[in-house]
Amino acid sequence: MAAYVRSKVIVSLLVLFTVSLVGFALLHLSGDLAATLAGENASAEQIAELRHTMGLDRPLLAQYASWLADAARGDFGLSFFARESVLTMFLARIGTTAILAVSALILAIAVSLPLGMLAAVRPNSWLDWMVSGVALSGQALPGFFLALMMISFFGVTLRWLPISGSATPLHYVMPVVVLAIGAIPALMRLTRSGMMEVLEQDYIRTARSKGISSLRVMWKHAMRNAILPIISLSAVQLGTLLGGSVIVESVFAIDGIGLLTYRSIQRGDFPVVQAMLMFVSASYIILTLLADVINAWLDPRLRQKSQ
Amino acid sequence: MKISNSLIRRYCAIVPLVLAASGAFADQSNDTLRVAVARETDFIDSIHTSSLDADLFSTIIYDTLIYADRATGEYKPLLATSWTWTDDTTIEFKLREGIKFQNGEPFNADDVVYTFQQLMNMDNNFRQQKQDFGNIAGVEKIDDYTVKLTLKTPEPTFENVLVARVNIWPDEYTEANGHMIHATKPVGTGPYALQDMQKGSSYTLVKNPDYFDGARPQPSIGTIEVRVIPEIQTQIAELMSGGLDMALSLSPNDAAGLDGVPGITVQTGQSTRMYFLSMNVAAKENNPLNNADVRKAVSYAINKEEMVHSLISPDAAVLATNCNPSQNFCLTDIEPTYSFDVAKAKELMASAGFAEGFDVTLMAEANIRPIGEALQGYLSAIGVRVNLETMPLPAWRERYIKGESQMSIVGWGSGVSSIDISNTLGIFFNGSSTDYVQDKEIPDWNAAALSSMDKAERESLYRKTLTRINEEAYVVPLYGTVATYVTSEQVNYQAPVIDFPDLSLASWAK
Repeated sequence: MAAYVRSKVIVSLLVLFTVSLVGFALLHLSGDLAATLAGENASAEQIAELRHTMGLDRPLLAQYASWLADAARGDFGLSFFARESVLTMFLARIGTTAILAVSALILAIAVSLPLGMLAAVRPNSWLDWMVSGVALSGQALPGFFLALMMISFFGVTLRWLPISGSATPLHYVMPVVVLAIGAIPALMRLTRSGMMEVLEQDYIRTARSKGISSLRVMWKHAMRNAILPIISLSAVQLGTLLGGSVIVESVFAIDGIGLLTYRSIQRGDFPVVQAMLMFVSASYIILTLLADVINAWLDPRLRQKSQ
Repeated sequence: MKISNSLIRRYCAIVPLVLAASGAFADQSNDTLRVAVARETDFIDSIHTSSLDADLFSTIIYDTLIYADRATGEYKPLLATSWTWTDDTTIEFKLREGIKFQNGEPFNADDVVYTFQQLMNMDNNFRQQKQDFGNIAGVEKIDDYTVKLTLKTPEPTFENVLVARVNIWPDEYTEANGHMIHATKPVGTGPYALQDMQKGSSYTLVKNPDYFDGARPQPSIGTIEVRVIPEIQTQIAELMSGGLDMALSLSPNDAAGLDGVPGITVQTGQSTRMYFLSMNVAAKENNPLNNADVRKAVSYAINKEEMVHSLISPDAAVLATNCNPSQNFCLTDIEPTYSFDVAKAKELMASAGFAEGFDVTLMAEANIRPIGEALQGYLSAIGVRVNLETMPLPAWRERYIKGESQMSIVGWGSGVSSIDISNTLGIFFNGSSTDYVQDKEIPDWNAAALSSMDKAERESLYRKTLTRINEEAYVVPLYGTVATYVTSEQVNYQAPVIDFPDLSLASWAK
């Protein structure tokens, strides 16, 4: 088990390093930061002066090396515009985003597990078709469109829900639903196919023939085996939700790390964008790693394979 | 199962904490004006930041010595009861007595002298510090309510700086805490004081109950809450559902869509920002734009009225000379002008030896792509094959400064720094790397105009410059942008004649 985890961790660190290097290079090649910072009425001389004082005229690799050295010590630098520690800005907002992402994931699981299981029990029934239909349309709808439609209907026409901000729990309803709808299709399809596969196994038939109630068969026998891929996928989905709330947070004006990322990209605040990139990839990698480990722990077969 | 239970418990404990962090709903019933802006403000004091919205806060938290009346544009005494130019480089201010800052500190000459000393100290690295305050030679306290300010050289536009950039600070508070304190805990004499801010998302300001009776009316609304809502569609939805009282960053098109919606009032005003088509006149080799007839042909080929009124706004100013009519010294009676005439344009192309046309690259900021496409269409009618390249603003500026532009749509000016024509003509006609024309005389005329205190002389110099620009068709002036003021009908707010809103002027309609 230890060897299994160690090899996974090493690969994860390599991926993280690659992401940081590629991200850094892409950000610095995307435009002249000094020109943005100097403000619109700045002269060419002022811009050149600023570029020099900010160290932006040094070779890219040198800039990356000093960034990496600082980042390794947990220092992600100062925002170019807010002149505030990136870490402070991040910590002030991560709670909001975490609430959004975790709530959305819980909602998505709560909807897709029962529906996916029902669809698996009655394949090709009207219920199955409906579930597939919902999954398909959920996947096809872009988040921002769904968000605007919901705002228009529940916020403007019906006036049931507040539209923007995060002042009350009600403010979270629409954003969480939009995020959950994005996560439901994959979870639901995986539950359905996983359950269908498991339900065809011999031991299920045995359990059934012993006279165990079909609900108990589903939960106790089938679910235990079908849940493995769902755990992996949930972890991946949580990573996606943490990083993918950029659009939802901007549309609903929720001041989490998604909105911070969006605004920082807009105004070229590279230290913030780079740190957010690192956070999203790190949480993605860590969650995937965690899912692998949990799976290995739940399923001894996986553990043995790697030994 | 134990693990997940404790996780759930912890999660449930965090939720109410975060939810409780922000304020509650508000509206007229609790005397709160809810305003939306699209971008965050990092520093409340506009001296520290280039964010336009900082002016929104600074204007109502601080007072200036001179105030620009928003209804007429006239300059009126505010913290100064009078100001007198004793010679071309010296101003004497008489100050208002009996005023207190929001922290109780009394206002007098020491505060004014202290503020100017901070502005003159170039180590402070304020925004546009050299440009706006580099010409100040010294400041001197004559008595408790008289201050003398001297400039190094005559600066005819200095009163604009006083009106927009010199917010008077309390000397003791600022000295004790450092000037950066104003970025987060500002203290001024103005009609509103900052009560609370969630950096990047919301700002709450409350009425100053002791505000003095002067050029600015007494504040009327108790609380102003400014929220950052980046998505314009969301701002519109909030306006329509009654969740907002005012939105200031809507484009003319968005605002036009709201015109006629029950409960919403849409006003437009002229902004000082303008757009023109820049051509690389100066490049010598293989450059058709070096030929005046070709540039005139380009000018004749564009149907500006049609393009501007359908793509920007029916209220946008179509420009005949290279300045925005809302700027001081923008002369609009300059000859010649180029009205839409394709036949004449083709004739000029033929006589210049370009009957077959030529290829050219047009660069533009991504958000004005439709204008670029319209120009592409107009120019194709006279054989000019335009390759349109759109990019984010910083990328465009980098290439423009490097001299890589053949043709560009240039947008210039914002707020008070562009209230005078010198701002627009400045960097595009001064012989620098951003001057794609390199006329032999224009830079000298402009420099002379910027050091003359004689209004008639300034006007005649700008007349010479604008006439030369039109005679040679150095640029194609396009349009002035439109500022929009969208409010709920519960709010009384008159669109200002100058492009920096003063929210303290808002009141409830009933």
